[in-house]
Amino acid sequence: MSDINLAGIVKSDAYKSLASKRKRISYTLTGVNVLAYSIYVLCMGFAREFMSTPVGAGPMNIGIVMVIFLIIFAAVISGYYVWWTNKRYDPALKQLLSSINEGSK
Amino acid sequence: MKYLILLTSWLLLSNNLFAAEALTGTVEKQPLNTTAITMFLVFVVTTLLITVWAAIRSKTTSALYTGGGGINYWQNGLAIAGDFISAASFLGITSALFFIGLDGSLLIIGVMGSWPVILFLIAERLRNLGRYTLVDVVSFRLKQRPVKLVIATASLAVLTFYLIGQLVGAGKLIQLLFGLDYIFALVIVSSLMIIYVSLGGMLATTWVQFIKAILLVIGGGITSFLVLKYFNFEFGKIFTSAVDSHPKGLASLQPGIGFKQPLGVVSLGLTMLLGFIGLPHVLMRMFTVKDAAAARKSSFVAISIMSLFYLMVVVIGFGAIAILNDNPETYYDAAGKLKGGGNMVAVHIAHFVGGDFLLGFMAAVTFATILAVVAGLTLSASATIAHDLYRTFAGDKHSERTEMIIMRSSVVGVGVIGILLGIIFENQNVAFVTTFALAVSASVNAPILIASMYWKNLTTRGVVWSGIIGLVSSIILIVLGPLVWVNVLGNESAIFPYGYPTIATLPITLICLYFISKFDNSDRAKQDRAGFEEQYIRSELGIGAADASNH
Repeated sequence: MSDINLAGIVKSDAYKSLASKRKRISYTLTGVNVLAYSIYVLCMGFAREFMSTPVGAGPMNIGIVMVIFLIIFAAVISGYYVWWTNKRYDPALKQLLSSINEGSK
Repeated sequence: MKYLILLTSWLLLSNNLFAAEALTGTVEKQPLNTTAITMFLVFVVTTLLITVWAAIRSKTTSALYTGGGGINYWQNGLAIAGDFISAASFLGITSALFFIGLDGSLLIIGVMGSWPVILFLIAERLRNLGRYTLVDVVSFRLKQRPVKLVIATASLAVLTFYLIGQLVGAGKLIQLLFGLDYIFALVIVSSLMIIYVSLGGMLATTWVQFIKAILLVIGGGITSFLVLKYFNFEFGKIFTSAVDSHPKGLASLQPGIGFKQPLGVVSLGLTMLLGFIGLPHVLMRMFTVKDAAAARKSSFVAISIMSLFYLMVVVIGFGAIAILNDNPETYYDAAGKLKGGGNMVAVHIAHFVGGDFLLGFMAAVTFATILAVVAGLTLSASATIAHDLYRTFAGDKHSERTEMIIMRSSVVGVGVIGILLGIIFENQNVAFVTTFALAVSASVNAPILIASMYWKNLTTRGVVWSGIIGLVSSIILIVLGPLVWVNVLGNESAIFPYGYPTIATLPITLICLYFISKFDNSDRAKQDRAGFEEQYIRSELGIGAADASNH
């Protein structure tokens, strides 16, 4: 594959729409993750009473629930991203590359 | 402030607290632990056999640095998780939860928060753009020599300081768990590390880390299962009992008993989030798999394992509050201090729920952990010296053969320097060492790496100056902060109030990076910006990336 061809692929509308979909997903997920992390860190620093609000009858509180939630959350959003890129993005990219390649021959 | 300092020492390295305790003389050499030593010897023999196997396959620089890019994604994922779950994560974070309750969770969520960012923004582009190190990626479209020199220096600073912390900790820990002499322990760790890395390269290093990660997850799994069983599998009971037993009562489950200063918490949060993203020895693992998709899958395996492991740590850490405090005669000494020092919580718990066998197992796994992490650090440091520095500066005189010799000698050099520094630092308070490594990673490596991949206007001049300024300001603020100014130099109060300087150093680096690049009108800057398109194509499509080996 020549360089000219590669640059052509990147400039094609089909690629652009696929790439923007991909960007939207990775940026949104990054944003959600950083937001969740920031809320936790800021609450640990500045909203200590809120974190101490009891949940249920025992001594469990919002802080502990948030910690357990965030540990699991990181794995869940990562799993979603890997699922999406493997099942949706990669096959679409592969198809796009091979169709452009054939078209240029 | 006292807690802040203590916590810093708990972070990642169990050792630092030992160093602090060593000053007051509370570290005692334990009687020889035969179960632990036997299990550890089995681990050593197995990994040495793997090293022989790996050495036969490691005849090129590519094989030494990255295992030829032919490592399985799930093995690599476990090895990545292993890099993060160092002896300290297990011992240090369990202890943090035990002593300061909910505040200790900051150390867990920092790791969990950083990994998704690596996956979403960095893993694939890094794999597509680089060959062996993150320096490759940053310098992709920039002027090679100055950029490589600055980023390699920052990487080496991170790795060396991380390594010193690990080695001092290793010596103390092994003295405690195995009843071996400090220097003897140091020599064992360094020698094994030299053998693994110089002969077996990345292949052996990955296997060592991979096996250890499995052992650690098994050990953590058994321990947390038995802790849950002790509480009749009632999750809530762990916290009810903790409140009853913790000296601070209900406050132990609330924020604020460990970290008093709110802005200190924010600075810690930033240091962890970005610091873990920029660790050179972890990012290097992205180059060991065959392509970007495999790098992505490795990251997911790593995150899942860490998620599972830290849930176990939550159970063990909070469970320990009730268990250890309810059995003071076994686990506390006459002075009312935890036997063996502040980092022994996990070890005591293993002993309580699983007897001598589980204690021995966990001690052996801890030793293996230190060894595996130290090997990864050394590999990354020697790749930086041989690939990023020698290869770039030798120019035409470069040869593959010399590069391999230099890489292997760097390994030996790092090992020997490690022993020497370990001896020098034996009785020093080394808490600042790890903080420094993470702060440089968070203030220099991570922001510059991300900018190099995503920001078109980044220029050589911007990287060089912001890198130098970020590095220097991190050093200055750590020296002026409580960890060095008060703890090491013995002054009354710190000039810079926070142990973690990132809250100040990160903005400094970002501002320099932005403005110097933005107003850079040199010819080189035009070239740098023009190079972005080619870099973008390659980072997205992965075409042109070095092909993975077949074996």
